[in-house]
Amino acid sequence: MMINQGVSSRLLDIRDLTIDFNTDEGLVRAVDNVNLSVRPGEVMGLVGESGSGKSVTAKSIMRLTPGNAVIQHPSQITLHHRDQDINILKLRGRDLRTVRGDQVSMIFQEPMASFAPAIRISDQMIQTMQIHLGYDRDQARRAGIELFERVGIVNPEQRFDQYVFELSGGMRQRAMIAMALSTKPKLLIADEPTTALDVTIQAQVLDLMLELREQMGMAMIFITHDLGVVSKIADNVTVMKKGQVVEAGSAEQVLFQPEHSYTKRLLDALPHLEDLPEAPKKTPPPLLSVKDLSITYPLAGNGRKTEYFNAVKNISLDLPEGQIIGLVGESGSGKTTLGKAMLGAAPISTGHVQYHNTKKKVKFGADKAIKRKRLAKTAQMVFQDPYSSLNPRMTVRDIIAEPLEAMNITKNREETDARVIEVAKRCHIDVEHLRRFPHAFSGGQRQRISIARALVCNPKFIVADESVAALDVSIQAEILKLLKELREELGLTILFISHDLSVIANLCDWVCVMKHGELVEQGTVRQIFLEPQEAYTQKLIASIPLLDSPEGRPSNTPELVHIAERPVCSEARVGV
Amino acid sequence: MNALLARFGFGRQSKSQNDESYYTAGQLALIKARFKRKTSGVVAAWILGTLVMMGFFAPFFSPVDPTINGADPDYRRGAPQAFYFWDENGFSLRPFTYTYTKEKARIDLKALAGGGLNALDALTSSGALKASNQNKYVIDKEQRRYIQLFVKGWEYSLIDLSVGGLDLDIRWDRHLLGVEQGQLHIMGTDEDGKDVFSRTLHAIWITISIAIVALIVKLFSSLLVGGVSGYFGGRIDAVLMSITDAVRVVPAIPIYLACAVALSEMDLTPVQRYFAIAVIIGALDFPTLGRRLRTHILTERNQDYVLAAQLCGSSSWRIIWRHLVPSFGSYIIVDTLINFPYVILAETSLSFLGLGLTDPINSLGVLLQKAQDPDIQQNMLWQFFPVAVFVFLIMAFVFVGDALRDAADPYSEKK
Repeated sequence: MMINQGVSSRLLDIRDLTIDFNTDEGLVRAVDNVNLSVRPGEVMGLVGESGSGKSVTAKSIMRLTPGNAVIQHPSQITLHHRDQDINILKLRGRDLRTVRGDQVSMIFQEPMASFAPAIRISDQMIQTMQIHLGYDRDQARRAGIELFERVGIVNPEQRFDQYVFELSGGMRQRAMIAMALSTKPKLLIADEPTTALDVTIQAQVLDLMLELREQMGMAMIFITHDLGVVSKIADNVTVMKKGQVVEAGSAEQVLFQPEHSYTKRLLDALPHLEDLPEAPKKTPPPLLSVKDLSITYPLAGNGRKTEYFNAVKNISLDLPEGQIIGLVGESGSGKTTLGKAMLGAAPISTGHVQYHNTKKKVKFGADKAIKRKRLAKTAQMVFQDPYSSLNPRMTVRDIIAEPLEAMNITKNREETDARVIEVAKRCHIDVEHLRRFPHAFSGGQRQRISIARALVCNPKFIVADESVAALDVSIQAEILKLLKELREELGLTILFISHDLSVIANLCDWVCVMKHGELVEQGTVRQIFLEPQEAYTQKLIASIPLLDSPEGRPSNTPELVHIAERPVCSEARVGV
Repeated sequence: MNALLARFGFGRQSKSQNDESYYTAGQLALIKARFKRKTSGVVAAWILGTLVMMGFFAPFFSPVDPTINGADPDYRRGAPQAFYFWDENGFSLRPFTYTYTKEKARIDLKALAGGGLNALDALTSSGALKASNQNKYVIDKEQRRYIQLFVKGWEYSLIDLSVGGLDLDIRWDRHLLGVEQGQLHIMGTDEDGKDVFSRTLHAIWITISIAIVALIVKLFSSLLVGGVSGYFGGRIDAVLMSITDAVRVVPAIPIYLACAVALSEMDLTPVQRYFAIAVIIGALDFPTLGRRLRTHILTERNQDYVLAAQLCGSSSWRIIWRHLVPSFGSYIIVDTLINFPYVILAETSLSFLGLGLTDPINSLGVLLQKAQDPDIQQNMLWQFFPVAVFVFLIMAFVFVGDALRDAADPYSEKK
């Protein structure tokens, strides 16, 4: 059936797309000779790391490439619409609306940043429909509320008139989807629509998108770096690397018989529940004990009556020495606050934190002030964002040397330099690069610098707060390898905070699960992932987008044509 | 000029710079590279640099002593003396000017003695007393006066480094341009016979040095208030910001007036007094920059690298000075440069009100105020020379500041 469908049944055709960026260093090729086609009703998964050109490719379909992008000859993007071939690259002026809303629309990664913050969602959606569909206000409003209902927003009439900041993360993404669907596009481009969401919400949004695809029959280009997500949703998969397509084919083929080494590497990063790491034989003595720890933040309020928010509620925890401990939870579960409290960077309201086996006693809590320098020599932090955690105006050498200089640990400059070079080598940073500034480095290299800074004063304990969340899969693997190496060679204890369960499964020895500031469950990786006890943990584990086995995958390819024929009726339904 | 061209050539080469230098480039080097790409900024910077250097070494560049000592009593209200390379008497490689002699208005006082009112009438209506007639001079084309370089003139102090009892005053008596006999008045003289060109050069430095003092004081107070307020936040912030707002609502002119009166009680030279006013202007001018710095630091202190520094055991002082203020550096530089013209304008407006510097002192404000005299506007247009210099100076500052702002903003590159 697939073979019989000729060019005419294609919705979108990208031929020899080559895009260069005009930068200070001359032309930089972002997309190199990419061929891609999407049939009506098909879900095309576009997979690749940051900088692989997947977003630029998708944006060029809507002609949303940045101003310094140069689309080279003989690139061709054709949209087949009502038996007409539209050359997208030749569109000018008002005709651009065909690809910007009419036939193609887009869901962005960060819904908060993609809605205008000071305009009600209703006004934004109504205006879109007025322009594209020629509805009047009331008609558009009815259609909008219906769409809200359809994407599963509870209380649609009320939510419709709210501002974007009044909605929760999952709701925002649903509203974004509703808005993208409001013009009844034939092609929906989803640019990492679930990356910023928690696993459980990610699962909901993916289900929703699949359902809508069935109902409305549009084609979708689904951009992501997560092959687990792709396996859930895509019919065909295109893998991009450095601007080139390295592998393309049906989802089964790419996911289960990958040919290119790069695809294999991406697949390796997924959690493999079959071979989770063996738990250590015996539990070592604790390095750090947290006792009855609560953290409350005052919410905004006037002086007389302040309300408090309990970020962490009465947690007691022992962290075994020399292990990597994973701390898991959805956003808002208080896991970062707990991690920061262990480093004395959050206001502790009750309870205390105590480090064992330190030269000088390190203990602090609600009624005991922090001895900052003692603590800084014992425990350090590696941050989530490798861009904002390094001062852009200091050289790498100065950044790494900061703890030594701030606490006057070393006697002179030579000693500092020697120590910095030693740590840099351990973290695989080129010594020649020490003179450079952070802007010269990629995310992974920056994270190495951050780790080097944390290690320079020989701490025993490191809190890694979502330290690989901002990194690409292949770079993630390198950083995780480095962390394991450090644990083995230096006997470091690492608290690894993450919402990404696959990373936790591949890295940690011991896992703690948090929900709404409370510790729900803890245990070895095998216990948590294979035999979760609590209902919440079970839900969390079940939402991991794992690779389904080939047999278990619903094969929806043959139905494509059938689905594609259906939009007429669904359009009618929305329109009324 | 060659140097200028070489600079442009270099600017073009820097585009093909090798990767290594780009990656090791610091913030300042990046700003410099971007600045060089903007032609208007580079030209303005050269003009500005030239003017400031000429101002700083004003005695060397001026052919005539600008004070009353150097005034030429025989050439009051004298027109500019042009340079020539040739005339009907032949060609000369060395530029020359002619001997100018003032035409004395001949007033027949004898007639006045016996003639009574009619004679007085005749005298006044003859035009001999008209201001414009007093500008007449005679050019003696037979007597060329060749321009000399490095001529010996009045002795001046080139750079005065004496501190306390240490005598490090470097004195010299050579001047770049001059003539062998008499005096050279490139831009003419004023009604006292003082050389306009020399006065202007001396004025540039006085004006700029006052502006520098005011801006340094302003910078210091803003950094202190903004840095402390932004970093600590909370109650300290509230108190400091209410003081800032209180200062902000007080209008400037009454403060200047009060200062001028208060300072007049003290025994200061006019320049010292004006310096004192400049310090006060600067100290009270902190609200805008201070508030902006506070806002910036309020957002910047939530960045992870500040928390990282805290967890590294850095003290508050170290965090403010090593981490936070440098992140604002480019803005501070640009704000200071763009504010330069305003301080100069403040000086001129004060001089205009008679509160700042007054006539015997050479400052651009004084000279500008002088140029408002109708007599000058009608009969001595060359006294507008300081106005032209002033316009050039302000424009140069504005263009340099503008180019620097673009250069300091990393997002300005993409067009």
